[in-house]
Amino acid sequence: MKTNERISSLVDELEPVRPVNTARTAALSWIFALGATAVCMLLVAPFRTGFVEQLLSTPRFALETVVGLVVGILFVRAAFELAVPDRRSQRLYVTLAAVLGAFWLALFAFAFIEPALPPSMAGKRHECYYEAMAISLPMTVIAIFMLRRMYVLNGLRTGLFAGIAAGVLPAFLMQLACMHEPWHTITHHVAPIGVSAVAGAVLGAWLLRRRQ
Amino acid sequence: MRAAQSGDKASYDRLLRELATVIERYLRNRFGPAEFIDDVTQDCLLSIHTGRHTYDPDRPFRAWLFTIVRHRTIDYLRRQRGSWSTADRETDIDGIAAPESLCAVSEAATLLRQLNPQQREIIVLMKYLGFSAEETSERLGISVTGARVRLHRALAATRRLLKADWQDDS
Repeated sequence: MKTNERISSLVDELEPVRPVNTARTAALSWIFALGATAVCMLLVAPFRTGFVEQLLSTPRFALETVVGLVVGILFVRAAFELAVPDRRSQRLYVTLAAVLGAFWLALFAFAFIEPALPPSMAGKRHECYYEAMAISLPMTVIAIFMLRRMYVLNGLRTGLFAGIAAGVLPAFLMQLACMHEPWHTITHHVAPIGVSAVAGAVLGAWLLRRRQ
Repeated sequence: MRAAQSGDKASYDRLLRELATVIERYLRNRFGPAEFIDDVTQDCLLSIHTGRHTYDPDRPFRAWLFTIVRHRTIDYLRRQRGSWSTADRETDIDGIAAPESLCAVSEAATLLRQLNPQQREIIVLMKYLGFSAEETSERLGISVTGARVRLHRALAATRRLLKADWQDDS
């Protein structure tokens, strides 16, 4: 087929489309996902009593929480940016998400030296690890199917970011809902991010391959 | 593009024709009068069509367009690499493009100059002149496997150079 014929056939096929607004899509998805995560967690057990006072009285804990919130937003945004062909915005959000994500992890690592809150069993959720995965894995799948409607250039990387974003949400909320102890945070709240990241990368590489 | 997104066929037709010219010129500047330019241009147009909803009118069109062009070109070259490997096993020297016409490709020549002499030699022999791995190994006095490995490394180096070049541009 010659280029002119190709153009004519594409013009014949033209139908109106609604342009994707990555900022709006990412924001709405994040709000929906955060709300859904919070509701799911509340259905299992209430949040830790006194977490609001802890946020207000402990700047380090407030910082950890705010950074976790921003990391979640950035990873969701980065995943959606990766599904749009524009390398400059992709670089910006991927870098921001990675840097702030590393800082968030560094805060958890620093808690081994100096915990933000005195380690306590108060508010312990018995199945928090599985709870986090039960939320993040379906969310990863939903995100992958949303991203499939866009134009993904690198399925693996996009899926990885979607998986991390889905894992960060319950990890962030677990900081407020579950017991606060550095080792528990790493093994039960942060570790599921790795599981959903791997699931996202595998699903992304498989389901987000570009179709011509 | 905004008009095309709302379904205006006349604007879309004009846009695609203009883009076809832009993409063709861009690829010719990079690769010279290579035969695959028409195929890659059509691939790019198809991708622009299927991904037109991902263009955000508030962002620069150029960045969106050239990201698609870059990826389609790399995809095409990757697919070609696969068919080159098959051709290495199946074809003889007849019917391979004349080296003079290939040397005329200024971009390719520039790229070749950046490779080391061994890499340049193996690419010219196997890709430009069309020698099989066996013929190349005889000429260079190396094993057949050695020739294939050297070609593989040379192509990897070429891809790296191309990628760096693309990144500099975008």
